[in-house]
Amino acid sequence: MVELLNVSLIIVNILVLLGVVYFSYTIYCYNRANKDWLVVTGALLLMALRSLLSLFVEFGFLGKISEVVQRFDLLLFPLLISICFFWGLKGMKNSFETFSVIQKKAKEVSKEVKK
Amino acid sequence: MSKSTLEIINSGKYLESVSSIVKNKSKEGQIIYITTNRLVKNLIKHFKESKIQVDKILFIDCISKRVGKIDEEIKNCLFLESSRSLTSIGLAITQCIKNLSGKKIVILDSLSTLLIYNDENTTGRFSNFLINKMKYKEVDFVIFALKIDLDRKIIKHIVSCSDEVKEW
Repeated sequence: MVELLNVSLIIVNILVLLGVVYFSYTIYCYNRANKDWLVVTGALLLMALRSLLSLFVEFGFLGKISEVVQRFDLLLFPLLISICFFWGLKGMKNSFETFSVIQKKAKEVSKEVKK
Repeated sequence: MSKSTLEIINSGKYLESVSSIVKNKSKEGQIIYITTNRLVKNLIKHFKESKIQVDKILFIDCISKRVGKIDEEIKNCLFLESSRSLTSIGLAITQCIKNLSGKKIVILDSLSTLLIYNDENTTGRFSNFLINKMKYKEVDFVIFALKIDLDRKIIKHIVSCSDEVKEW
């Protein structure tokens, strides 16, 4: 019973994460010039992949390599996900800062022209 | 009603053609001039020689910062990082339109240079976005392109979405 609940939760998690990846990618499509958002999408995709692997481990699909996968899941995946989020969101922050500077400067320059 | 025009210019007489277009357009309304291939300082010098009232033009310069030659004395110019950041260019144009009153004319100089910094699909999407945005905002839009680029797919696409095409 507990196992069934575990598997169901993992499946729901994967489905929700795939939805999140889809929405994140559609946001990227609005502004293809900004590649940083694609890194954030990559991090979300890694999260979905991580859940998928834990589902495979739960079902015993991975056989002997499940131990290696679990080790990756414990160490490498969280690090990769954190790096992707860090890189992507840092880039996005820089972009937003640039945009707010442009908005401010555009106002100032427009005033100069009106004079 | 607003109008979008594609000006196909012969590279041999580029500056003369540009000056002539700007001179004519400046009589119609307030100009927002986006330069991607010439430093605003040089452009202003040339426009002054052609007796164009440059202080009534709002410049958006996408090249000076890249080559490290910003002239702080030019108050009517918004300096952007590069011609690669199409989002920044789009945002700058939108904000300038919002902050200026009366009839406005946006001049993009030039599609050929944008194609050097960005791939054809991205430039095409951006140009299409601008043409439609200008229509929606009821702003006249003029795009310059070099004659040598006439065979490119994107130019043919812009020709099909523009209201008018002129050759110089």
